[in-house]
Amino acid sequence: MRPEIKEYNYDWMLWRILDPASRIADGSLKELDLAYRYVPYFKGVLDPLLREGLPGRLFLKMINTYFENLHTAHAKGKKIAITTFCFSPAICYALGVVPVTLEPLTALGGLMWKRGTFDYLDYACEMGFTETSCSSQRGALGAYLAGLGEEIDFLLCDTPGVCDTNANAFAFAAAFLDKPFYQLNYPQTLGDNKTDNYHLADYKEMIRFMEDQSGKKLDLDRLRQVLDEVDKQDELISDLEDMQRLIPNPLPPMYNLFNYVGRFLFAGMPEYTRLLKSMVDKAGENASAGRSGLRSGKEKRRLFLCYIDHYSLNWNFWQWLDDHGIAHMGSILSRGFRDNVCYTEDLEGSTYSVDTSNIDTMIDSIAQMNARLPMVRSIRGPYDQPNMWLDESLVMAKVFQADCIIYNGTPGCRNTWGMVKPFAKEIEKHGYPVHIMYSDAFDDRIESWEATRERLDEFFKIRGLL
Amino acid sequence: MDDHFNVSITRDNLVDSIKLYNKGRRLLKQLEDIRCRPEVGITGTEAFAAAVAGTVMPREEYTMHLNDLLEGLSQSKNNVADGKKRLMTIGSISDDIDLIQLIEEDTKAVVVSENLCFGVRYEGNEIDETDDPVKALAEGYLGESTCPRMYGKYKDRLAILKEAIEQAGVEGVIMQNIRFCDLHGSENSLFERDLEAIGIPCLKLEREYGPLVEKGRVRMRVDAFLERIA
Amino acid sequence: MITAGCDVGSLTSKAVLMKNKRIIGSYITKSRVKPEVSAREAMQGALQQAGISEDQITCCVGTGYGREKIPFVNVAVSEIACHGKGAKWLMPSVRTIIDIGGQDCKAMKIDASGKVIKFITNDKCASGTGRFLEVMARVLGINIEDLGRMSRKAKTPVILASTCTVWAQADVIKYLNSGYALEDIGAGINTAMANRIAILANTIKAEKDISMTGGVAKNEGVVTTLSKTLGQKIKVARKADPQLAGAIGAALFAEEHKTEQGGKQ
Repeated sequence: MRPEIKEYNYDWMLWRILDPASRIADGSLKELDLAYRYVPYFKGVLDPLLREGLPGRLFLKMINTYFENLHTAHAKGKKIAITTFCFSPAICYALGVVPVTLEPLTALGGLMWKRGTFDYLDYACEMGFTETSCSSQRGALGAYLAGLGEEIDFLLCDTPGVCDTNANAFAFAAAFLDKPFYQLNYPQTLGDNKTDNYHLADYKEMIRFMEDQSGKKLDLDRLRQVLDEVDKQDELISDLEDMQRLIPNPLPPMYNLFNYVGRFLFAGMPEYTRLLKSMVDKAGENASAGRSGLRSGKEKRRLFLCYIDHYSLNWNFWQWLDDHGIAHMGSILSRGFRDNVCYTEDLEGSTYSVDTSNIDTMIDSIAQMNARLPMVRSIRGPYDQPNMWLDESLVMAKVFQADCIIYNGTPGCRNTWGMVKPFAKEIEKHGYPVHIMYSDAFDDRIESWEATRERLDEFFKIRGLL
Repeated sequence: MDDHFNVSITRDNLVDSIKLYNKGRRLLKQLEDIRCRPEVGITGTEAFAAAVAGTVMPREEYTMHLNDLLEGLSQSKNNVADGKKRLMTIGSISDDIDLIQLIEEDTKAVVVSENLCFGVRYEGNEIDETDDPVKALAEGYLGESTCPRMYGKYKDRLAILKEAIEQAGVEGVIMQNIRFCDLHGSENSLFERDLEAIGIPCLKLEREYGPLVEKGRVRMRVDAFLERIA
Repeated sequence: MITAGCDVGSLTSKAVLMKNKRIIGSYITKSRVKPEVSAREAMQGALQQAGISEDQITCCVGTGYGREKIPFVNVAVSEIACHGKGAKWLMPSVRTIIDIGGQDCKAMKIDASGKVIKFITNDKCASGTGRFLEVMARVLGINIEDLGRMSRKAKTPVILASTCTVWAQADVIKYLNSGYALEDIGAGINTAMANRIAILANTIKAEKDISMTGGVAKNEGVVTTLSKTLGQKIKVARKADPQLAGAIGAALFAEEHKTEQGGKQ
């Protein structure tokens, strides 16, 4: 790790960028122009965000608040827990614990810095991670392993059995940092009674663990408050997903990032609700005017990402989509799966509901919601098992009328690479051109953006899509 | 299984099978104990071959062979460990007897203990013979597994290693993992950190699964390690 | 007593003759297909330089991948141990040695007496080895000796795909075609190389004095960038060609071996 990187904590550095960024958003154009002169490199990150208007500004404010909470947590007597993106942070907020969701934090580093989280990725390997391990946790985790972040109190993980590579990162970190660790285990099916009961029992155990660790009991009113907020957010997400089906798609590509970061860092918190509301309003305006969410206003193709996005520097990937008239139909990360969404008719048992009547229904709601987050929902069983990855992707492609599908992940993702080729073959049989990207969503050194872009150009040209 | 293979698996079948396998497990434990002594009558290569054989042979035959082997050892005065460094091999799946042979090749070292996916660990602890057999099997397979896939048990596994090292008088640990086994790959690093801290030299070795193909590379590292602990 | 050390590598073979812990002859040659042939060539060269004949050598130690195949070698010692010993002779204050050869890279820590206490190697793939630089230099159309200097003149080193040499090569070609400055690309290559090496060094927790041996030690771009990344100064040996470290160590081992034998008698 370069010595200068050791001077400041990773999460503190991100905050020190996002705090002024969130405030300049409210300044005048003149002030903005002046500020840009001092941040020639960050301009590439800030400008596209601000061009999104209110949603972009609220996004900045939301993550700024997140970091503020993180850095004042211990002072306020709150505990800090490392979690994963397949784990809804709502329960943390209900218990007064601040979640550190590794993957979005790694993504933020890669988006905003030229060298991304390279130093931390490598540091994790130096401390014992294999080179072949997944980069999504490793980026932010490297910082925490090096002691370059807020002190962690405990770890929560729900990927054992679903994604062992992910779970291993947590198990390693827990042993390395010598901190308590709770793992939720998920059976390989979803939506049947036995599984639902298993989810509930395991989740209750976890709540007991969290209460022990945080020294606080689960407060009924607070849980209800958080779930009410989740309810509002689910309503708005459902609206966005409905609108995404329109032709042209009124949602700008970057909305998918807003959703990703919001849901996995801030589910259950009002700042995320405000952001979603602004997104719904803006998309709604586009929709009434029959306008595409792309800057050019011309939608040429509709793309569904069957796995995750590419978090390359300066929003490269989303900019590329926008520039080429390709509307973003979401990814495995952006789908809500609440019982009010438009795409689950053919995916029985895949939704959850929110019932705040009493403590039991509330815990059941949150446990079932947790079991329907990305990987734990559709990659918990073999890809061709009913309602798993293949079924889900085909449904999405159909409902959102995608013209093509792209797979992007990380080379360390044993989870998907173990089956992506047969999966892609199956999808092609259904008439959707599939492009498998060999890049790393969180590490630009695996395949440089320039090379990725060339392959994208090639795919769209050769398959006659553009 | 009943339906698919058109058989009938009764409670008695299961109990008998458990008892048969336990017999073999006890014998392997005896083998493990013999290798802990200062005078060792069997090389690591031979012992490992015996363990790996258990994964492919019919169980009755295997148990018989193990019996014969142990009887032979109890009567032999052979000591293959004389003047050699006592090593332990740990890590992910390896049915590669050639690898152990490579380690013991130049007669500077003998492998006296192991904690690999095949072998003594694979056989694991005995399954309860008195309880309901399905419950006993489930508990045995899921509860006693010492694979790093069972998250949250690092300290237990470290304790098992330390105990084995002490009992067998191990002077160096070779930690191998097959490429892409992140679980062993990363846990080996933790073991290395904690074992080196108490003065046990360790060598981490990442290799490909399958027949031994990188002799030169592995040889170089093993040699350097043996020079280090000489 | 004159002893000899012979280090047969995959790209180059080296021989060193020593008397009273001083080098009296040395030779570096390109390795042939058969290690015996390479060893013979290197030895001939060294003998010629020293002006002595083979029967004047008391003991010869062989090291490197081909060491067991050399007929005139008395004892074979691992190249890790030889490099450690040789590096200590080249620089008595050294504690961490980073050796980047043509096809592998190793990092090792030695104690006060020159014994290796920790080592790590990466010889599974080209990136992070001399081969990487060779390939890149060829793409840029420059001599590999000139690659090092480019870091000094660069304004903004490019970022390269650094985990795969083949893909990095594709990247370099693209940057060239896009009209990026040659120095920036060259510096990017050196930086990618340095970062790969840094991971190795950090894994064994490099301590000072840190010295580099092997051919890549002559690339100032890599050395300077590596120093910055590690936050510690890297010293390059001046006493003799750092590429000879392995052979020097072997020759020193030969002397120890003979002295031990003499003592036993």
